[in-house]
Amino acid sequence: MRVGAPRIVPTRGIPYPTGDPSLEGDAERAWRRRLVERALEAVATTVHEPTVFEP
Amino acid sequence: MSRIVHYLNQFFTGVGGEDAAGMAPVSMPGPVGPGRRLGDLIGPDHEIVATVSCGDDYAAGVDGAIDEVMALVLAAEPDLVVAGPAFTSGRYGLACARLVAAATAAGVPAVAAMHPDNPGLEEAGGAPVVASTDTARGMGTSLPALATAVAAVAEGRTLTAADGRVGAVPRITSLSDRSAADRAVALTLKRLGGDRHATEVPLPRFDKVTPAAPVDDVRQVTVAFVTEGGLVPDANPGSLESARATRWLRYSLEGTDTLEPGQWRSVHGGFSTAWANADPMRILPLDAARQLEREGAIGRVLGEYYVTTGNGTSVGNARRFGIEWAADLHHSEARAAVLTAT
Repeated sequence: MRVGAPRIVPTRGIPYPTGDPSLEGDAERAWRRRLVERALEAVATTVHEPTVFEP
Repeated sequence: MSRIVHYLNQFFTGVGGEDAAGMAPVSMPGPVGPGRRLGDLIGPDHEIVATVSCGDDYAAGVDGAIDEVMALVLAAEPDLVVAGPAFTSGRYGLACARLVAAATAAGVPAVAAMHPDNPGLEEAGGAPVVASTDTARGMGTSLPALATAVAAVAEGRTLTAADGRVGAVPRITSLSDRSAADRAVALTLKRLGGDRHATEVPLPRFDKVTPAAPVDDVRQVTVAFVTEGGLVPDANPGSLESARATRWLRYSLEGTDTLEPGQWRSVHGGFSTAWANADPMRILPLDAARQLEREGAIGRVLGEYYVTTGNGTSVGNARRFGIEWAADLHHSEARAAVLTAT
């Protein structure tokens, strides 16, 4: 938010923005897909200021 | 009479818009476009003897473009170089800023004009830049301010904030007759007196980004993937830095459905890369992107991804990467980008 990115999908950790090593293989892949789907929803949404799209 | 060479992008010399953004630099005799009005405003002591023009993409994206521009500028034997106004146009501002920096370094006085929020501003280094309005609608007020600055620079005067100067001012070492403690107390008193701006150390400003319009139908568009997570082919063929990156790179994803450990790794020096190296898709979500592509949820995944390392990167370089990415993506078929940030 502070750096001013217009569309933000929060993730679970700096070293693995599109993963979560605490999850088992399929569960992690499903989480990753959820994040990408959310990002695609974000780019299709009108925003006027930094906006968070919770996954 | 001093000889002035004026720099304008392809739009303001009337060559064309985005369709002509790839134009290599050209030199034209005399003033062109807004240069005519500028020439009138700076009066008979100065003459715009040539106008050098370059496409925005070429100027901002091609290695050595500013050297080519400078060669044309110098061929016209200028006493002074003027660039812009570039308003808030990123690629144009970058070119103007780099040009005045190059001219100043070559010993030719120079001045550019652009809006203080122009992302290219920092590239001027310590070369003088004066403020313009944010869009070309303000050309009528921006040109007289630039003309005044041109006259001042031609006289050898150092521009200050009073001249509308923006951007970095070269640091000059001088001895103050008051101790640091004295000055700190004086600044504190000023603050208490309501002056919110008094400082000896101006802080960098962060841009306000205007969000891009949304894509109409993500099922129809090509989506680019971009990361600052330092993910590269295992041998790091482009020598991406682990910190303080000065470059960004592009690598092909064609024919690749997953990023396998051992073939890709993160060179990022700002976090433990153990998790990323065990599964590179924790940085770049290619498996999910391919799945969505196959299902028709997105039109296509762009054939290359863009990468740099976001670790102690200077604001100036980060800004440049952003401008260059935007220009590059604009030229690709991608109409949306997903950037994964560590």
